[in-house]
Amino acid sequence: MKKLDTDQKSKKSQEEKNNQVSSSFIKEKLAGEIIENEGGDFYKREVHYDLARNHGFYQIGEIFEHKFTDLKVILNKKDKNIFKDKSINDILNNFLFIDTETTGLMGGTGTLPFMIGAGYFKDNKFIVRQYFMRDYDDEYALLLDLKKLIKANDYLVSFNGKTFDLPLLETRFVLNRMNKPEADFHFDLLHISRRVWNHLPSCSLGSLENKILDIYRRDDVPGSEIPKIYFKYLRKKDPLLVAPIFKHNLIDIVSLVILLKHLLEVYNNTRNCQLSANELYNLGRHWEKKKELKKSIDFLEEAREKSQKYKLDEDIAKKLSWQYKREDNWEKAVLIWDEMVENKQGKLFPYRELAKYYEHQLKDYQKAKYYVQQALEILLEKRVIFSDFEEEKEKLDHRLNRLVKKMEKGV
Amino acid sequence: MNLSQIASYLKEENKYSGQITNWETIPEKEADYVQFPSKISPELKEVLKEKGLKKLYSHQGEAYEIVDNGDNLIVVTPTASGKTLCYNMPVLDTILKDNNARALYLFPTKALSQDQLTELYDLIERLDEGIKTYTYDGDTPVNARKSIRRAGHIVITNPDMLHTGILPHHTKWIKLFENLEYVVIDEIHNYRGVFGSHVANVIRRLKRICNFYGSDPQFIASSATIANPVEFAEKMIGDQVKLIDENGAPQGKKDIVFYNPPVVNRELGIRRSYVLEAEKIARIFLENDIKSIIFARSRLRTEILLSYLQDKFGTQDIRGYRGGYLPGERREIEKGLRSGDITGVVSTNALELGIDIGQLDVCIMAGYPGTIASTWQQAGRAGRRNSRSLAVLVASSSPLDQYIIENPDFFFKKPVESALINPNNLLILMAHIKCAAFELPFTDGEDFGVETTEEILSYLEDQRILRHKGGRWHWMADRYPAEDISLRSASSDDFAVVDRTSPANSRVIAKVDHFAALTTIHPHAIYIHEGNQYQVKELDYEGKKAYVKKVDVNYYTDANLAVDMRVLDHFDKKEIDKLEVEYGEVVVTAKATMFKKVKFKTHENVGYGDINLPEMDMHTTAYWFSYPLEMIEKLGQKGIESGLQGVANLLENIAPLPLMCDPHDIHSATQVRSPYTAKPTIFIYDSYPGGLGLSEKLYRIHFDLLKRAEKHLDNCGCEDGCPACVGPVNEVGMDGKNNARILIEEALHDEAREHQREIEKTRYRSEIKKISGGEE
Repeated sequence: MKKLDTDQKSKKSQEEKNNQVSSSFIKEKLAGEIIENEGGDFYKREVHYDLARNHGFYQIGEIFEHKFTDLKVILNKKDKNIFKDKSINDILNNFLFIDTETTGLMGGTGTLPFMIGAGYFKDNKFIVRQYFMRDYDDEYALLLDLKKLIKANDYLVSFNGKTFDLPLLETRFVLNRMNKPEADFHFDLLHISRRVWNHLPSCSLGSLENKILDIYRRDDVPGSEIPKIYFKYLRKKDPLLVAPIFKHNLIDIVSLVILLKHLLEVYNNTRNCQLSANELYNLGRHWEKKKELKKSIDFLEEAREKSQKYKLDEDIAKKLSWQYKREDNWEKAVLIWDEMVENKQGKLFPYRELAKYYEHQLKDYQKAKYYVQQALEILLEKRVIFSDFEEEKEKLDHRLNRLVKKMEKGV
Repeated sequence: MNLSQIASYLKEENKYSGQITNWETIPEKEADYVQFPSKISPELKEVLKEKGLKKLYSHQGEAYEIVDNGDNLIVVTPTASGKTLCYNMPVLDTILKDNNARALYLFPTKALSQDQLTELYDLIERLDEGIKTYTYDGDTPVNARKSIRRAGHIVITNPDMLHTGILPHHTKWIKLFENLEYVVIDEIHNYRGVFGSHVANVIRRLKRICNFYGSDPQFIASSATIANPVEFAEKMIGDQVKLIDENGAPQGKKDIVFYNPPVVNRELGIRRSYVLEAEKIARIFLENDIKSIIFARSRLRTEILLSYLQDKFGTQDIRGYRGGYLPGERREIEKGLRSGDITGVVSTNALELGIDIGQLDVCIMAGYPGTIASTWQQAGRAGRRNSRSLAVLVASSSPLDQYIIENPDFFFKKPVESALINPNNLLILMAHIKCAAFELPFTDGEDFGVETTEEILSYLEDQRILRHKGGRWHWMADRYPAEDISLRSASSDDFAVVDRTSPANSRVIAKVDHFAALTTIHPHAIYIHEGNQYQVKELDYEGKKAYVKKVDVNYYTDANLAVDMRVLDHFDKKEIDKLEVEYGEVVVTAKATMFKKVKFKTHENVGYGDINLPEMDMHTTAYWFSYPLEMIEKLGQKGIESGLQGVANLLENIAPLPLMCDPHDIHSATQVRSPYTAKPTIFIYDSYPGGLGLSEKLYRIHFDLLKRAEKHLDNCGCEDGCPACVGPVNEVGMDGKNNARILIEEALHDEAREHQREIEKTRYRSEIKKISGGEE
């Protein structure tokens, strides 16, 4: 990366500095300060929270109750060693919770993160530092400071930061001729949240706050308005205009902590969480993907108990039966399939599975044939609901023929 | 019969020889070799030798030297002359010597870039040094894009992708921009008119970003033959460019034949179908198993020719070829041609560019391809290095075709077509200044193409799109400018043509700019697209949408445009004898009044209708010339009106030739007593807001233009006027042709003629050496 040169420093004349009435105004109204460094000067504001402070379901400091193994549970296998052998305190004190407010969602080099919120734990407090660009020429100095902050912490936490916030910040560093900041690891809570809550119509932070975390914002500024407000502020230089954005950003950051805390609960203290059938099912599927059979079955079994909805029931039953199969637990699998047949669940699925079971596991071709014929009957009777009628029929016919042949060979 | 025998047959057999208006034989040419440059990396030299090149052609060697010297380059040599090696060689050489070096290749469209790259891929594979190339276009899968950015030595893309995908996200391409050594622009002559003006600005943005990252790439361009390669390239690139136009590759003997279908209706001047005539000629060659390619002007005609020929020769021997085909299908056809399984290919202009499939011996062009450059490129598809080839141009009855057929010297003598762009067209410039500001804030004192950049930036600040702070101009909007800007339209004012033939599947089939919309997509208009007829059922003027339905009728529509011309300013003026010739800025107020329904072939009027669309104002550039008041006395009121209109129509018909533009790109207007000049005046203006430099060019070639007009008038077979020359009789009156002739003669007064002759003589002498085989 090219070396920074002096033309990057903001070219503020003395007159301009004197005219920054708005800056001192901001100082009073929003309790921030102007910081000077080798890149110029910029504005930041810090809000300190007590760890006992409530936000939604939890207190901010409750996250410290976990062990670092709890954190590892939500990581991917390849990242399992990022915490090495640190204590939970060491780890959490090196977390930086980040969220930006920008002039648009389009990405690209013309998008400006005019406010950057960064939260961290220190000396038994949770501190949210909010960087704010009073105008375009604050950026260089601001980024210098942000870089130091990122460097001082090892782990980043964000919501959709992998796709949006971090690439955007990287772009800003490049445009200001600085090397990009490096962090050891980045938890993007959107990705982790989706695993649990993608049955909801929206997995946005706002939606999760309302539906899961018991956080309700009053008079919150809608995200789509934010760019317009900032542009208006630039023209009028009235800091009161951006006060709502500061508030919005602040809550974003604190919510990140609460969301992470809740995720740790969900993954590790499942029983305490009173998870819904949907959540349990989603987690069951997640562990299936990770090839953690035992965990998957645990979640799916609980999901089955809780489930009250027909479609979900069906999905859970199917999946759980397959997990039992994988575990070679045929007894339990067959139980589910029998139930499904009895409750007329899953269309042809239980019949097919039972047919396969009897054919391949027990070599009871008579019974297998019975189930195939049952399936064919349903197929023909309820022809209309099968969009892949031809295909299904072909497969079943094929299976039937094979069974007949096997029976003829004599067993 | 072999090719030579067929050639003789055509010359002797009456039914053909009568229609052949011109037969030009270009003698064979030997190769001009040079040694490999001493500096070339040994691995590359080895690989080239492996491919069978013991030496280089002179232009390839020259290219290496010029690029090695640090200069920008434009290479103008025919197809199949090894032109691509002129850029592949220096690029690969540099990468071999410096693994960090990067290059950017620009192709006009995605589909065709694959073809041009076969040579490159082959060399890279043989070199086996881990050089990576990647195509970055709309089809590149999203997860592939990240690795391309990091690793690709050569990134291949097109102007549209550069405009919206790469430049606004340049921080993701640091490696490319920091180390960019070369920008290769293939077939640069394609970037003319509106599109070219946009691309020139995209290049300005590219250079700006390179500057930010500390690189300063060299530009290497290839082009077809145009009259102004250096001027054009320099305008496009914004820097000095060296020219190579001497072709060192060998060429077999080449015949170029002009064929005009016979007239079948004297009164109306109608000729036999050129598509059928082309098919007839093609048959002769195909029957004799001579590998041929037939170019047709539209998909529809390609299909027609294809089906006729396949009827006779079968679907294995004769294949069709269109831009829409998948790469796999195209490879199959190319293979078939090489192996001999395929005898004939019927293609649209898509195959004009593309890889060297020079295994063809004959090229037949059904209809004039539109420019001389394209004609040479298509003719260039036939011909191997060491044997005879033949190209036939079958003219349609359109004015342009007839003009070419009548004027072979226009075609064969010095190049007359100029590629024209106007990168500083205000609308276009401003659009790209916005994009540039989004990409990197402007600093005070920085210029983008024009000295008045700061004024434009201030204007944008007033529009609340930019903010000036700390000595820089920052983007201050929540939109992404490049998204809204199409590189192919002059303003964002375009109308969409929506095909609603099947209501469930309505889709946009074309875009029409505002000015053209008045006369081409008014309600009830017949709109022709890719050979299909559509009728405009509904026009949503505010919403800028025209809803059309497919139809099959025997007429076309022709709309009247009432134009009022107001001169704002003139940029230059000259007096040629009694005529005053000027060019400058005008406001055109246009109103479409009514339209006629005109029957095909007979040109009868079979109906008419009103057009009720609002008036439209357009600021643009124009060139005009005015006659002394005596002319009104001489011709009378009716006479001067008819004469002016006739000359205007005539000029509209032939002006697109030297301009290499579409006939719709310019329009004419006449004023018997012009408010500006107070005299009878003829105006020709660019039909795009801001102008494209077309009328300026006409201003510069005014005398030449009128000379050609005179010749065309004389050669036209009609009695009193027709659409191909001065316009139909019911528009210009019974004496239209005569009146026009008088006016033209007046403009070409003897003294002026003599003076011009002197100028021509000197110009000819300096360019005489260019008239030898090797023209495209």
